[in-house]
Amino acid sequence: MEDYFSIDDILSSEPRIYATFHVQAHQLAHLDPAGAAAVWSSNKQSSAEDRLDLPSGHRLALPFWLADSLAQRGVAALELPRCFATGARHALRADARAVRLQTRCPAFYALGLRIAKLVRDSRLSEALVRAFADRCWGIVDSAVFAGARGVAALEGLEEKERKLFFAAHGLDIALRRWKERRIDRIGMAHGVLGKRCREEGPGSPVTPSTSKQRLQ
Amino acid sequence: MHGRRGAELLEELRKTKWLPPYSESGIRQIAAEIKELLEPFLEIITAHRASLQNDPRYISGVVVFYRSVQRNKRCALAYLMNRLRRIVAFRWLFGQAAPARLDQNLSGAERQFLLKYNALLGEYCDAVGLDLTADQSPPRDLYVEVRVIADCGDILTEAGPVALKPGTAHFLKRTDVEHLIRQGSLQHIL
Repeated sequence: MEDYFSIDDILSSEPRIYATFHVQAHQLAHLDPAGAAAVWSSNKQSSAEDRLDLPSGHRLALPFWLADSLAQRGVAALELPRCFATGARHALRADARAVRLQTRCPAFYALGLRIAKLVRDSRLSEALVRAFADRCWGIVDSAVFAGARGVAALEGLEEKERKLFFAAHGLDIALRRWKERRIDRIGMAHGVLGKRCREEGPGSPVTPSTSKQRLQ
Repeated sequence: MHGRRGAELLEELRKTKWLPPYSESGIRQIAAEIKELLEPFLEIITAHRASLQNDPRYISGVVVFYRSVQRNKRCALAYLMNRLRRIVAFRWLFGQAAPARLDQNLSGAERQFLLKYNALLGEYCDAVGLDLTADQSPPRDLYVEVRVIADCGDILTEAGPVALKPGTAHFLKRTDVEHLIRQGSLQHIL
């Protein structure tokens, strides 16, 4: 379910994907000025009015939120981004844990699910779910047990996975505090004017500030 | 590309858990972009009203401009809304000291909001006779031992005024000093 005010929801539809216009798009030459100008200058019959349009069959990268609504109206065709193509899916199936999702797409699952919904590709959403299931325990594992080396594990993770990582890390810290009977100690609010609280690591759910922000 | 500035604003906000300074220019730029986008949109709508339904050529133009306006609006509203949520969260954390601490990063409207929210919360707490922002997690003891880090001046407790000088330690009622600990002026010793 999409939340209108959610920053994550908004930003996950920002990555660009390639779209091809079926029609001559009225007044849209400014989306790709150089590309449109090249096409029109090679076409001798184009009028001055045409030059403001995007030529039919033109391919350009659009943010997903824009490409999505164009595809729904049937005026443009979308290309499946490389990170969701067959090759990438094979890699995920072979060993999902070895794939570095961060370099492929920072909001891999969120964007993937949107695309799967748009093109009605149930196999893509299945592949995403399976990939996440394969990866999630490894992520929790490195957040809790890897100590300082866990930070290195963060590098290949995409956004949702990072959240999972910090949640697991925060829980581990909370558990340790509870074991040492420090749980009812009143901590300094997280983020007091740039001063870091010494007790908590980033993302610890113990202070009210962070737990409240996680609810948002 | 349309809507890029709005996304940048939100990225900036997402990077931090603290409240970054209000970006007056960012919001202005988004508003200007909306205005800029509306012009061709209205032009197409009025000039090609008849062929709008069946000519995909105009549909694509209208969709792009319209969606971009909506997107910009959504980015701007999300930016303002998430800032308000953070302001409220900080009010619960810092108690009465919140306005002073947040002041330099707030816009005029946000300052107004915080003032009114402050008054509203205070009024409600008075009405029910309970400080809702205290004891957010269940306390084990009524009294806590604290060491003073930054000078807080005198505070008034049930037992009389207490001078909180840096370096001294006190045994005080939890509810009296909890917000000072959260602000970082006192340290809770166990």
